Amino acid sequence: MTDVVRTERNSGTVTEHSASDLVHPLEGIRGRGIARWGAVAVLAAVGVGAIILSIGFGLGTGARPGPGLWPFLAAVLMLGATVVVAITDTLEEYEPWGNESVRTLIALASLVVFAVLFTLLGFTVPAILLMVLWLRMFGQMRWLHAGLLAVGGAIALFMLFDVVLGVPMPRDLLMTPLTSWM
Amino acid sequence: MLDGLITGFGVALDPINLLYVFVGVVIGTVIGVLPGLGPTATIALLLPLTYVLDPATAIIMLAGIYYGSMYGGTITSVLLRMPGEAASVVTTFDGYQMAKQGRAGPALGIAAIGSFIGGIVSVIGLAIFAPMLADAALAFGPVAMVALMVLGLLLVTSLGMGSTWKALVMATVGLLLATVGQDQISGMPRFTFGSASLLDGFDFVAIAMGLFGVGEILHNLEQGGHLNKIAKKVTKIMPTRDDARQSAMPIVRGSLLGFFIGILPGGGGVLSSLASYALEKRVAKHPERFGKGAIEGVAGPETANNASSTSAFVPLLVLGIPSNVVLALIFGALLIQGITPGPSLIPDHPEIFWGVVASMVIGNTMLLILNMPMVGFFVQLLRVPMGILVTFAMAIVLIGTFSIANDPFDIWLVLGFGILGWIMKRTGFDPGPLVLAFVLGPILEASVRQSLLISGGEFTVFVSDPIAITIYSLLAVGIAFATIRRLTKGRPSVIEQARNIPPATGLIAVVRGRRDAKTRTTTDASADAVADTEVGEEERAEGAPKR
Repeated sequence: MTDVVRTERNSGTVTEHSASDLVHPLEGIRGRGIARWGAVAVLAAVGVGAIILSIGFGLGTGARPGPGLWPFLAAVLMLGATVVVAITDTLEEYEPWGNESVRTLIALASLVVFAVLFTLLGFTVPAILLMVLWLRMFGQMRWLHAGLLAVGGAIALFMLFDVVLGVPMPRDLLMTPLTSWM
Repeated sequence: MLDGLITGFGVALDPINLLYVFVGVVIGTVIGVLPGLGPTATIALLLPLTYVLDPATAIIMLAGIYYGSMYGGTITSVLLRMPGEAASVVTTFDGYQMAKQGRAGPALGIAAIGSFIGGIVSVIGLAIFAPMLADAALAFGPVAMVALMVLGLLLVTSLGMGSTWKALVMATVGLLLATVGQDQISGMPRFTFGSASLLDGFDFVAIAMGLFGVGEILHNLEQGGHLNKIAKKVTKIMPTRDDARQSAMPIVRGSLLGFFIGILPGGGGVLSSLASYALEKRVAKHPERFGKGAIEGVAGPETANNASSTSAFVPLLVLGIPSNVVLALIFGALLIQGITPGPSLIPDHPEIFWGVVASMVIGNTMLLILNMPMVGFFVQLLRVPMGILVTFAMAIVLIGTFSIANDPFDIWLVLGFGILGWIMKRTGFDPGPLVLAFVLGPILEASVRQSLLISGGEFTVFVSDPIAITIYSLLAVGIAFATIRRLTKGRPSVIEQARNIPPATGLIAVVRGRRDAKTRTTTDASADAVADTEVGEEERAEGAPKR
């Protein structure tokens, strides 16, 4: 690996990202370790669970393969590969959790709120709220700009799907009265 | 073949299809330019839109996005050393150096010309070989199909850029996910946990949109920040006579190399451009020029990646085996339309095959025009802040998800898979093999069970067919060779180099780098303001991430 770094460096094409990543020792070893073992544990649990359930579905015989045979084979293979990953995998690819994850969690929460509101209010109003939040938070836009863009965007998307593509959208707090009035 | 081409152009020149191939290549170029959204995420996002289209039109548009992104990815690689999508990473090596020397124009020009030639060569190959191969493949029984799919899955897992074992884990997870729902033969519900919505299994579009769309968006959010404002005017696109002479052979070699690598499972895109770069460097009289602005280092790989993205349609349309993730999504789009790609696709649906082939000729021509005189326009797209981009992408995901089946449950499903995709990105598990295995899973299971039934339960049936024996022998030799090579020499340098390539979401690399080396990049940028690259507005670091 060092060899490649050197050649890339000579040719001046290495990105700042990989340079800093490779020169400094890995940050957040502990976080990465937790992420790694967490991933392995979840995968192993899924594998074992799938094996047990597959046996329950009935493996059948070679001549009359049962519905459980195929998932059983897949799950055994999965467990085997997971064990190899547990033994051989390095920590490089596991990103430690940090402050930036908080923003992602807020984004996730807003998506959940959207999904709940969607069934109650239709697409546009929850979409406008979501887009204003995201444009403020991730686009650092001013309230006015974010608001205008969100309203325009949400209505345009609604029109595209509802009118142009003919998707039967659920009753919409904003658009249903508007389109019926038109 | 002539009849086929006439049919094909009849389909492709239909005004609706012309419109959609244009839409496809423009979207492809746009997302190729914009870092953060690659062709995979975009096609996943747009899958619901294809419901209302004819099968041929849908595939024409999606294919346009794929090869369009191969063109677009070049622009940012050359101008900003920031690959818009993975296959253009190699172009940063010499393309950016050319830009620094004031030769951004010729670099982009030769890339567009090379891509065009590579694309056309590959389309011709597709038109000649695919029908011939399909005739041969019609004779394939379930045993041979099992062997082919095993080959495809193993190659995709081992040729990926991450860990092979992790890719294999993901492939098996994909196989398992595909078994959720009613068993095709016995009708028994599997892994449904009593849920009626799961009886039909997971919806492919929901998985693709979740893992690639939402997963990618969430991961992008985490990287934060948005692009620096740039307004470079690129002039003198036409390569000089010297440039053309130097690039001629690399383009020829790139076309052929790209075509053949693209046919291999796992071969499209990155691998072909890497292989072409390695080849050009090896045959060059002055290999030391590479990495310092050698035009061959742009012409060859750019030609190869476009050639391979076209020939990657061969295994899909001939065997029904997608050779990479983008094609797995296109496979899914065909399934949605009620068409199972396979050897019978060309005889049964000539309008799809030949329509797509003809549209590729038209699409590549459009791209040549879009990328030569209009390159400046696409560069301006980089002014769109990342925050706006992800917000709109998310809104499209949400409304698109609902339109899959007009069922709000799908929104929850997509969010669930989105969280999974985000976690997978953070832990280095590639969702690609999962989606590929999910698509192939039901066919593989059916073929395995059919083979067993035919043979009366003899597991030796899987090595009873000459085609299967050939495939497994090749696979065994390949694995043995790779293992010995790895033990004695370590990984091949090309693969090692590829592993150090920043992820397809090139923004991550740049934004992080800018934060660390803010001042350096800024001075660097102003020093780079050279002859034919007028800097209209100075690159400013004000767009650097605020945390």
